[in-house]
Amino acid sequence: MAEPSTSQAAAVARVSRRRMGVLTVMLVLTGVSTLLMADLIWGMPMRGWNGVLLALFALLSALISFGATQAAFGFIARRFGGDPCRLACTLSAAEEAGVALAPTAIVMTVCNEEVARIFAGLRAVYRSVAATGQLGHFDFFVLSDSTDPNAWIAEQIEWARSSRELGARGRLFYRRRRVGTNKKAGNIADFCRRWGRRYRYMVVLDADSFMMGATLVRLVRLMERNGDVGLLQTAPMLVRGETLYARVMQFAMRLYSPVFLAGLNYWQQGEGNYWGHNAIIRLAPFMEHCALPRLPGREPIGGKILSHDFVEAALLRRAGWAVWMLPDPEGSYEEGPPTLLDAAKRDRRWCQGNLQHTLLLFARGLPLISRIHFLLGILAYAASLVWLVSLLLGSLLLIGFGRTGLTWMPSPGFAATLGIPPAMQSTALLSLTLVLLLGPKLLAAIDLLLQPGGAVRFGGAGRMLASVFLESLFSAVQAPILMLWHSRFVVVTLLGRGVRWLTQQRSGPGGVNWGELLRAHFGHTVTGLLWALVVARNAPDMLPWLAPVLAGLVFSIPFSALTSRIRAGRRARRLGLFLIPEETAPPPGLAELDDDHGDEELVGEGPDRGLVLAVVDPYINALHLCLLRERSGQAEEIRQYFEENREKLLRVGPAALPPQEKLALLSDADSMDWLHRELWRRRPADLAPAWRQVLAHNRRLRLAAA
Amino acid sequence: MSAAAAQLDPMVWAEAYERVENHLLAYRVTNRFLLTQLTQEILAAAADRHAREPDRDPGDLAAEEAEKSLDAWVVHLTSSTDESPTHRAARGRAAIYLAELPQRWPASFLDTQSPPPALVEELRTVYLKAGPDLEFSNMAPRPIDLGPVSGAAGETWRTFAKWPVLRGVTVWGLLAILLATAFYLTRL
Repeated sequence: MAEPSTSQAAAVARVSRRRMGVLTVMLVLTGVSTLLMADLIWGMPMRGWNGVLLALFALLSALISFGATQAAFGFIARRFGGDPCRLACTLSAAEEAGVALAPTAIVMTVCNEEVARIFAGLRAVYRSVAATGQLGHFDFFVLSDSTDPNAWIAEQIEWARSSRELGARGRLFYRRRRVGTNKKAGNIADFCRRWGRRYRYMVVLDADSFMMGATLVRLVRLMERNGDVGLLQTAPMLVRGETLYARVMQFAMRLYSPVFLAGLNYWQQGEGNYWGHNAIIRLAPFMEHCALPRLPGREPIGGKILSHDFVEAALLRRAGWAVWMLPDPEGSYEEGPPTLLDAAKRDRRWCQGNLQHTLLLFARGLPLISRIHFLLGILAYAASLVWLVSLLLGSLLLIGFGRTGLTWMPSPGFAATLGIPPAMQSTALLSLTLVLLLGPKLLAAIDLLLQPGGAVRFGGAGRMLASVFLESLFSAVQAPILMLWHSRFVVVTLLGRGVRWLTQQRSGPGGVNWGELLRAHFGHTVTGLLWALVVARNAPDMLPWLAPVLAGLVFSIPFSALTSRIRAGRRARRLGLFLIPEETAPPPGLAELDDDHGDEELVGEGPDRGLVLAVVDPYINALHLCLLRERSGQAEEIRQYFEENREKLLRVGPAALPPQEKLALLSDADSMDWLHRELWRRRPADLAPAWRQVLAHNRRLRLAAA
Repeated sequence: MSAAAAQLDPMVWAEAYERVENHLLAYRVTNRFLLTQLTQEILAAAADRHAREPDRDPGDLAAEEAEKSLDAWVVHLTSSTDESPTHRAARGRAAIYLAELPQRWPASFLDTQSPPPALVEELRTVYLKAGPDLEFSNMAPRPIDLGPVSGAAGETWRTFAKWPVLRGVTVWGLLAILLATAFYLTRL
C-alpha cells in the first residue's frame, strides 16, 4: 500500500486533534455534572442503588454534554469565519464556472404520498435547474412504490401533465415497481440496476423535498472537484409548516441547526453520514458497495435493513470513499410532520430502523466513526428509555425514603465540607444541566444576532428571542411525551413486534382527529396523573422537581391538540412568532408550490377514484396502458380470474371488489383495455349504478365546460 | 321491441345519441357544434348498420361505431407501428392527450382527411417515454460480517423467534425482576 502523502497525514492528524478536543470537552462537562450528582446522592443510604442511578445519570449527561459541545465548537467555527476545512472551501465561487458538470439523475422516491405536492415540488426543482442553464446535464425520475390505486393513477396523470407543461419529455421519467421489494432502498437499487450506468451522480430526493437548481449544480461541481467523495449530504431545512407543531419544529431546526451542523462537520469531516435524501451520490461506488444484504434473523431486528442510509454511508466509508456534509442550510428543503402524532408515527419507523443497527455496531471492517453514527442513532431512542428508568428509579427511591421518615442526607457529601449546602449543590447541578440543554439554543441565537441582518430574516431580534423562549417551553412539554413514546417503541421493537410502514401525513388538514389523539395520549395522561399522585402522597417535597416531566404527561392531550391546529400556526405567524427566512423572504420556487395545481377537472370521486378514472377516461386509460407491461401467455386460471373480476366490476361496481383485486385488475393491461371499451359499449342499464353515476358525472362535467 | 319499432322509436335513438355524445365528451370534445356534428355522423353510420342488422339495438350499434371511428382516427393520425393493437390505440390516445388536440385543434377531431401540419408535427414529437434506454448493471449485495458479538446477539434473537414460549418466559422474568425491584426500593 502506498504511503500517505504529507498533506494526507496532516489532515488525519488535524481530524484526530479535533475529535480529541470535542471528546475532552464533552468528558469534562460530563465529569463535572456526574461528580456533582455523585456527591449529592452518595450520602443517601440507597443500599447500592446510588451506583445504578449515577450510571444512568452519567450516560444521559454524556449525551447532552455531547450536544452542547458540538454546538459550542460549531459556534466557534462559525464565528471565526467558518471551518476552513469544510468541503465547500475546495471550490470557490470564482472557480465554479470552470468545473464542467457530469450526467446526473435526480431521483425522487414516492410511496402513496400526496401526489399533487410531489409533482409540484418536482416541477419547482426542474424549473429551478432550468433557470441555471444547466438542464442538459440532469434527468429526473419519479420512482414509485405506491400501492394505493388512487395515488398510482394520480401519479401517472401528474407525470404526463408535468412532462407536457415543462416540455420535459425524454427528461422527466416515471417508473412504478409492481412489487416494492426492500422499500426505498430496493427502489433506489432498482433504478441503479436499470439506469445507473448512464449517470455519474444521483441526487436522491424525498417526496416532500425541494432543492434549488443552483444548489444542485454546485453539488455536482463539488463532487467533480473532489474525486474521492462518494456522498455529499446537504442539510435540508424544514419548510411550509402550517400547524403550530410544524412551525415550531421548522423554526427550531432553522435557527439551531447551523451551529449544531457546523460542530458536527467539525469533528466528522469526511466520515459523515447519509440521511437518506437531499444528498448527491457517486453512482459507481454506490452500486459496487452499497447493495444491502439481509441481516440474519427475522424482523424487527434482523431481515431487510430499514434505515438503509446510515448503512450505505458506512459501506461507502468501508470502501474508502469520503462521506461529507454541507453544513450551510441553503437551497435544500423538506417538509416535516404536521403534528406530534405524525412525528410519533415517523419515529416508530425510525426507531426500529436505528435499533436494527445494533447488529452492525460490531460488524467487521467498518470505520469507528461509522459505528459512532450507529450508536448515536440508537441512543436517539434508547436514551428515552434510560431517562424513564432513571426517573422511575429516582421516584421509587424517594417513595422509599418518604416511608421511613428519615432525613434525606444522613451523611453529608464532600461539598458540605466546603460549606456548600445540599440545596445549593442541587441548584448548581440543575443549573449546569439547564446550561447544557439551553446553552446551544442561546449560542445559535447569539450567532444569528451577530450576523448582519440575521435576526431580520427571523422576524427581528425581539420576536426571534420570544420564539426561542416559547420553543424552549414547547420542548420541555414535549420531551416527557416523547420519552414515553420512544421508550415504548424501543421495548416493543425489542420484544419482536415490527412496524407497519405507515405513510406520514405531511400536511394536515388542520382539524384534530380527537379519537386518534385520545387513544394516543390516554396512557400518557394516566401515567402522569398516577405518578404525580404517588409522589405527592409519599414524597411531596420532590413534586416540584418532577413537575416539568409530569406536567408534560398530564397535559399531553391539550398540548397535542393545540399544536396540531393550523389556525394556531397561522396566528403565531401573524404575531411574527416562529418565523424562518424561507417565510420572510421565500426563495424562488418554494413560494409557488401551493399555487402549482392542475386546472383540469376529472370525473370520479370517492375511494375508487383512481380505478374509475383509469376505466372511464379514454386518455387516462391510454396513459395507464402505455405504462403497463404487457403480459404474454396468461395461464387459463389467471385469465378466468381476471374475466370474472372485471365482469363483476362492471356489473356490481368497484365496491364489490376487495382492494387487492382492484389492484390486480389495474395491473393487467388486457383487463384495463377491456374494461374501458366494455364500459362505453354497454347499455347503461347493464352497468352497476356506480358506473351510471360516473357516466352522468362525465356528461355534466364536460357539458359545463362546453 | 321489434326491429321496425326500434327504427321508428325516437326514444331509442335519443338514448343512442346520448351514449355517443357522452363518449365524445369524455374525449374532451366540448365544442357544441362539433359535438353535435360528430355525434350525428356516428349515428348515421349506426343507422346504416341498423338497416342491415335490424335485430341489433341502435344504442349498441352507435357505441360500436363510435369506438370504431375513434380507433381508426387515432391510429391514422399517429401512424403508430406498435405491434400490439391494445398499445397501438393506447399510444395514439395518449399522444392526442399530451398534444392537447381536442383543445388546440378541435376541428381536427375525428377528421381523417388532412390534419394541419402543426398538428402532425406535434403528434410526431409527442411521445410517452417512461424511462431512458435501459443499461442494466449488476448491483449484488455483499455479506456483512457482523462479528462475534452481533453473531451471538443474532443467535439469541433467532432462538427467541424460534421459541416464542422462551421469549415469553424471559419477558415475564424481566417483569418479575422489575416488580421485585420496585418493591425493594420502596422499602428502603
